Amino acid sequence: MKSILNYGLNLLKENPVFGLYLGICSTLAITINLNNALGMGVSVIAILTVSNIIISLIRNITPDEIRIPVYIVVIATLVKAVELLIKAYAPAIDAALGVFIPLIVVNCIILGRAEAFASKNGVAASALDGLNMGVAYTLSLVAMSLIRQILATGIVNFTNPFTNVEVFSVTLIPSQFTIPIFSGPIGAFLTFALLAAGVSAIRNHQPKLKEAK
Amino acid sequence: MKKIIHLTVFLAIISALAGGILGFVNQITAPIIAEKKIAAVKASLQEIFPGATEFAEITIEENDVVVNAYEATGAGYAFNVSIQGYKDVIEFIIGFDLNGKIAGLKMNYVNDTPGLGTKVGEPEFINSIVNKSVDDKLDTISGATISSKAVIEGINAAIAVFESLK
Repeated sequence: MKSILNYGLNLLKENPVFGLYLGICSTLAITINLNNALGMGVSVIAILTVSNIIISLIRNITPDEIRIPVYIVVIATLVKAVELLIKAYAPAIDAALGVFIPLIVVNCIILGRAEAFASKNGVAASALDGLNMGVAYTLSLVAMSLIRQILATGIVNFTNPFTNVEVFSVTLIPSQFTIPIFSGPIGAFLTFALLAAGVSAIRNHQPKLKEAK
Repeated sequence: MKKIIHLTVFLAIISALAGGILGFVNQITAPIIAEKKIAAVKASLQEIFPGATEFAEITIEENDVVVNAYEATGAGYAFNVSIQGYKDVIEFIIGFDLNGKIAGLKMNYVNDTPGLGTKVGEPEFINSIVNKSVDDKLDTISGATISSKAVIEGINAAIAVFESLK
């Protein structure tokens, strides 16, 4: 139990979105609903993990001078492959996320982890780092999207992107009390700012807890 | 000098590998993507050509108005048209049978003034077009002149493509 709690705290502390403020553009744009958030999150987990593995594998033979172009080629290839697979097997995600799937190429989380971690560490550690960062990113997206979707529409639903069958749909707020502005950019910034403030508060609070012990 | 050759060759190898991998993924996914694209419009195509069973997307010359073209084997051709209406684009699918008769018209997106521009989506207007020959003159609707003119302009653009296919 304690290790799960520690893992959760680490995800918060090292959270790429609310801790390091990386990859915010896509976070703000696509967190309109849970489906988009999970589709984007899972794509990023897959790309980040595999790109970390490949970059770690070639870290000793990559010449230092051209490492960034090499990383970009690796990341762009993976993103394009994922984009093609999504188009083929989950067209609903492709329709919803549109240009933000190809834009994963320039998502700073992925290049950031390649440069900061995978280029200096072993394959297993890099894979784990990619997975952790991907999960943290996904959780941030899910948190944002849940808040925005519930406040803007009052409904939480999830549709299987492969079959287009609705898995569940729960109405939490009657439609006359919803705040549609939360599905727009203003709602995105508000939600992001509040969550980032909350995460900062937790992080700043933590050392004091330890001292108290 | 040796250094620069090393760098160039390394980046070239990485890029070639990346290209190879993408080519492989594309080869697997391309037919599935094409099939999914057809599936999205298949219901509309089936409505326009009730007798046809096989549909395929065909490539046409780059066109501002006619977005996609489909062939219903043995029955005719259909075109996905997107044209500026009064305040938003109007999107529709129009089908022509092999004799040059308009086999069907299906509005997919109309966002013009409700009660006026939206008349282009009503059966009265659609029935005035369906079964006409490509050589006939099509009438606009009074009160929805701009929207219906746009639709007719779109149909004429589709006819031009249709004529080039025959």
